[in-house]
Amino acid sequence: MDIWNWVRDRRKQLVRDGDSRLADLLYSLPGHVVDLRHQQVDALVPEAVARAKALGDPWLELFFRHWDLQSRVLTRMQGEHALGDAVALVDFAHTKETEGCPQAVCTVQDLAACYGIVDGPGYASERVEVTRETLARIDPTWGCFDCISSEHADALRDGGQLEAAQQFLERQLAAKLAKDGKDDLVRFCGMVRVSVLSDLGRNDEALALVDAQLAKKDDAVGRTLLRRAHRARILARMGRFEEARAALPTWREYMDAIDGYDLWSDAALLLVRAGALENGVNLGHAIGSMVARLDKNGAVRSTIHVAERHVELALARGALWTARRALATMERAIPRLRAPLDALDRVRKAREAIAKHATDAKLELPESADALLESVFAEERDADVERDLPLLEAARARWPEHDALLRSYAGALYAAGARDESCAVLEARVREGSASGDVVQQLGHMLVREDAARFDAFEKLVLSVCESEETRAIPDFIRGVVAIEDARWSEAAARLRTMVKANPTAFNTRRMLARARLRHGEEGAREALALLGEVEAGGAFLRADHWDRLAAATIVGDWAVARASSAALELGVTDGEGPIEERWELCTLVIEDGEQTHEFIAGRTGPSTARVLHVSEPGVRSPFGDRWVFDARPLNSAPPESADDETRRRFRWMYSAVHCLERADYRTVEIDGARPSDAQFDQFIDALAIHGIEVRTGGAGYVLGDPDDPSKKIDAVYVRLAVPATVDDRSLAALLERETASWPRKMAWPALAAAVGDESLVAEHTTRSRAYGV
Amino acid sequence: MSDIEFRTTQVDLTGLMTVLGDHLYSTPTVALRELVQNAHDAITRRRVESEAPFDARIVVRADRERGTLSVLDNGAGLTRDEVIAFLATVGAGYTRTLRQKTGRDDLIGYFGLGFLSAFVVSDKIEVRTTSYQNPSESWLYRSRDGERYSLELTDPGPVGSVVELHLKERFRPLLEGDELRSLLERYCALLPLPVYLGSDPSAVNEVPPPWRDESLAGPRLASARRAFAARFERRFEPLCVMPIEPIEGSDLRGLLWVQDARTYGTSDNRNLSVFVRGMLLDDDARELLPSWAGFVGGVIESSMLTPTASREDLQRDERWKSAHAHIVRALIEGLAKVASSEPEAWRRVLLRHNEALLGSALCDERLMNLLANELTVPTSEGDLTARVVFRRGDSRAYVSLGTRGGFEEMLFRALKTPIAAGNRYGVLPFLRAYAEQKGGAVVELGTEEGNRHVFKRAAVSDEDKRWLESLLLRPGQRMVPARFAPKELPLVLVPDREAELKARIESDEADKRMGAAALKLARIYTKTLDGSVQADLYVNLDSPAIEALVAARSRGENAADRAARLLRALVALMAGWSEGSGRVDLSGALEDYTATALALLE
Repeated sequence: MDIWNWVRDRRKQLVRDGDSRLADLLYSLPGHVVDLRHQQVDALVPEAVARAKALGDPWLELFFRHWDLQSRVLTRMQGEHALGDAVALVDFAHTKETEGCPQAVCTVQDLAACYGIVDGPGYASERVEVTRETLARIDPTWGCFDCISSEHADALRDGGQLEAAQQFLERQLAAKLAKDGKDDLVRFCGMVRVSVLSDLGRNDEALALVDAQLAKKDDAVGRTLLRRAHRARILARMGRFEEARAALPTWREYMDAIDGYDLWSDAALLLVRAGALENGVNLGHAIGSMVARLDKNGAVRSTIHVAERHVELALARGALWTARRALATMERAIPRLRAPLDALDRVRKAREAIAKHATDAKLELPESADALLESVFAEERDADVERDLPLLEAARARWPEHDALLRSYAGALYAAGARDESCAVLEARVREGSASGDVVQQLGHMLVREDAARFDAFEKLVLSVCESEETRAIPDFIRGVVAIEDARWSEAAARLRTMVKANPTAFNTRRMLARARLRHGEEGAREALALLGEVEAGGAFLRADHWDRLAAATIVGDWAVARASSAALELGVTDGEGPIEERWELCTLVIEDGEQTHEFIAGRTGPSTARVLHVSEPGVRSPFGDRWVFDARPLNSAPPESADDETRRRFRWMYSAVHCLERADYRTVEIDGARPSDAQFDQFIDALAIHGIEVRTGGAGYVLGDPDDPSKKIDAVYVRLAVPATVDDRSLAALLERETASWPRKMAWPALAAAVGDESLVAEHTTRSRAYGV
Repeated sequence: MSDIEFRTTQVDLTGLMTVLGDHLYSTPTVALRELVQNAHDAITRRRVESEAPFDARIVVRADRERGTLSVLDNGAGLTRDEVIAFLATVGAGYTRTLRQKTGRDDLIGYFGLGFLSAFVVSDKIEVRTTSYQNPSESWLYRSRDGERYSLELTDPGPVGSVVELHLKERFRPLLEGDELRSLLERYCALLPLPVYLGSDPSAVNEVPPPWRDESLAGPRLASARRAFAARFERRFEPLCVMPIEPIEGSDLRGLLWVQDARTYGTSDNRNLSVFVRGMLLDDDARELLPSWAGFVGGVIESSMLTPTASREDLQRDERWKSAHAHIVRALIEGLAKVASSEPEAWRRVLLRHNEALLGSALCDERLMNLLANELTVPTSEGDLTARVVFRRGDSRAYVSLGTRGGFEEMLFRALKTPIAAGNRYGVLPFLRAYAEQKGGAVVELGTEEGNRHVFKRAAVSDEDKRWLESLLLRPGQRMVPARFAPKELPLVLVPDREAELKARIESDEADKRMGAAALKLARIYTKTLDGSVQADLYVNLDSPAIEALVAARSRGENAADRAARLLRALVALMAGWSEGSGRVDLSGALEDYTATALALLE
């Protein structure tokens, strides 16, 4: 049975039933999987499964869960991690509700493949057995005949039965040919046929086959990459190194082809041994990333294979630390294998190679830790963590108390990707109770982006072992810095205050605290001014501090200070005294309102103040006329020099509002109807302006139904009024009636009429509205 | 006038025509494009080879009555020998020869197959041509299949060619309505020579693309960009338009835009028109746009991209790759610019495409940086930005995958913590990426870790524990004393998925359902699981009912047993509407419930 026929039919049916979303998912998921768009797979699988469940369609659910596993297991090499899901899916695929689903067979393959990824050779016999069982139930017309045959051959190959694998593949190919009659089967069991031929030493045939596969154009991205890597390895095995090098995909292209890491690293090693590929930091980084990824995914056997190559390559370029780390990964992997087989031997060889290298390469340390740091960080020296780490490690063993050395060593570990080790080194020092503030800070900054629980533990540790107030304030300080970045002002202020109290010279903390306090009304602004005063008294005041001082002074109305800071920042305020109330350009104010942020157009009235010009939709509090103090450091940047005039014309600075000086209390009223002449409308605007009412209109091209002829449309205008509290609804209605009396047709304002509460008025405006077809 | 010659094309065309018809030149629109292109090259050729000035023009005519479509040019025209050599010989188009000879890159045609494409859509083709080399001699070529053709001298006409297609019946709708104009407007938009339709005095390509018109600036440039984009974006309005300008290593120029239509995460409305040497080569080169940009359209021109032999697609070579990278960069930079300088348009982009952008952000780090604080995710408390979700959850984002019953949501509503809907497109990976970038943790409800966060473990004395266990526990359950809100909820039963799976796979019943080898493999895994605990029963020490139950122990009251039965029934009823709770005995629970109620009434 062909699963794709079912997919096609099911998709049509979904579209007919109006569930085009699920229909889309049905097609897009397999596409994303085979083209290695892992992120998209992860983005849509939870939704697809949930929708299938909600629809009560177990076949669909099975389909989506299978394709999720295809992505996670077959292309992303999730072994140990996916086992639970693979078993659960096999279970689900063999229940009453999924009986007869053609995709059910594939779930057995997912499970077999999952074991194959954990430890291919270790589970070889079980995989052979289970695929044999499945093959007995299907014939070559099934879509999965190819996959299951591949898995079977791969299991034979993993079990060392190369000849048997080859014979099996030939039989399957013949069976497929006999049943299908198609003569073009180069891609049938394509990947494993190439592997087996090459492993048998029949590289000419393997090359011809992979070339024929590559010549076909409609291949999925992932498969193409793997075929290219196969081609490179075959050529390398044939000794055609230059061609091999050219054929090998770059690491950048290849990163997402996780199921091909073993292959790629093997080809790369052959090339390095032949001197055809540079064994530099970049290659080391690529292979190191592969080891880490495979290890994390629980692809245990492949981890050992690739790590073994990592050891050889690292030693060849003198990166002893890297080699040791790779060896440790291998050692950790051994107990997770089903059966060690040759893995113990591989580990032993790697260990011996490292030991030999370590005795050969004696590290020479200078006479002091300072001298060492000076030489390591000398300007003319290129940064090379792999080279420096063994030096720093040895130096630390010799001068264990040296603070800067410890921090440099931890920093190098972190840069080399050994985050846990890096944290552990610093943490050990903190635990001893003798850590400097610098060490505590470095550790805290590393941990703050990790899991929240780890930072909690760090905080507890610091508070329990450190004595100096300043050091004890560090965890709060770091949380405060993060809170500032996240604009959590109240929390930031509370956290930063701990450090301000503990350390009278923590000027930068005072600056940050001042910024956080700007959002807390006049009281906060006063504290901000005081803090900035302390910074100034300490001789640490910077030009940039004027921005916060300007905002704070504006909030409390200390205009002399505000003017002085404006002058220092050269903001172009007209000379004078007292409040600054000028007419500056338009800007966008970003106003935080609980958990929402609003962006309102506003007219700037000075360096740090603006009045909102936005007229909101009716029914919400209108921000029109509100006066705000903002942080005068813009949130956006000016258009580049090369920008066109239109961009420049439309550009507006965007500022973060910090304090509302005055709420203007306007409400919004809508009116609708036939468009008057421009002169009439100008007159209307002027008449309303006398009452402090602001007029806004919708764009051109607005049409309404013609009240005289419903089949026709007329030019119309939609108007929003910002009305101050001084004008009540009844007088507004009268004013509008008067000011639009001369217009070609009666305007409609049913909502205002309702607010007035006069029933005849409501009836009148509802009729007008209906006549316009609103 | 000489006699009519009957000749046969020098290549076996039958096979080729099948190929053309099936795969390459399958629509009249492609044929039209090829003919306009030939006309363009003929004019270029006349300019290169002839000194005499002339006023170049191409005219396309549709005759609905006769069912014909003709393309007229006043280019070089062909001599008799050239007709035989170029028009009727596959693969020997003159353009290639000319390009090699002159090094000019404004010649469009390449493979000489162009003309033959017309036969796929025509019953008959007639070409009248007069060469500038011999203006007194005009030739009439006629053929029905491209393979056999006749050639005769005809009444003298002006220098140039007229190609007249007698369209097959099924292709004649092209001649109706505005379809032809709209096609020409797009196909010829970048052609430097004027192309006219019928007797209309203004050329269909009168308005040049905005990036070529240096006189445009300010609002005129912006509206020209928008109008040009609207011409190519047929399904949606462009919401904001972003220019692509050449950079080192890529000569791409053009426009990208965001479509003003609501998209879902997986919608793919990408469209990209690619012009190579002024001619529209591909109006669906969506692959050049990043796969995450399902809401983006564009039009670009380049002379570095290489057409495939079919001339309907582009070769995926190194140039294609750098063009792709260039487009991705221009798109991301363009979006960043819209974000910073067009706040209203940006709001609308976010509003329209929030969901799709959740997925996009995952695919490109630059985009993630731009969008991390802007996008919202659906939560139990409405759509919230990730920042708010993490802030409200104290640096943790709680995500429900919706695979369990609603008790977690109930708990979290009580805590006023928003729970993100992890079963919606992009939500879970987006929050994970956010946490990775900004710190914090994602807690999936219903997992062991999630439960640890929800149910804060608490200690009770050994006696109390044993007492509660004796009253509340059923076989296979483990009691976990904890404190959680709302305190009105005394107990929560959480089944252990792994234990359930183990029980199912290791049961005899599984032997009937599954093949022996498959089962053996599955059991290797389940053997590693500890199945002794089938469910955890979280007992809420904050609940007044539990407090009273504990207090009852010291007083040794009998009523405690009745209360416990009621509570156990409640647990079963709550678990009853959780998914996958097949092991809960619902009818037993109801019996208990009823019996206790009756006992209370006695």
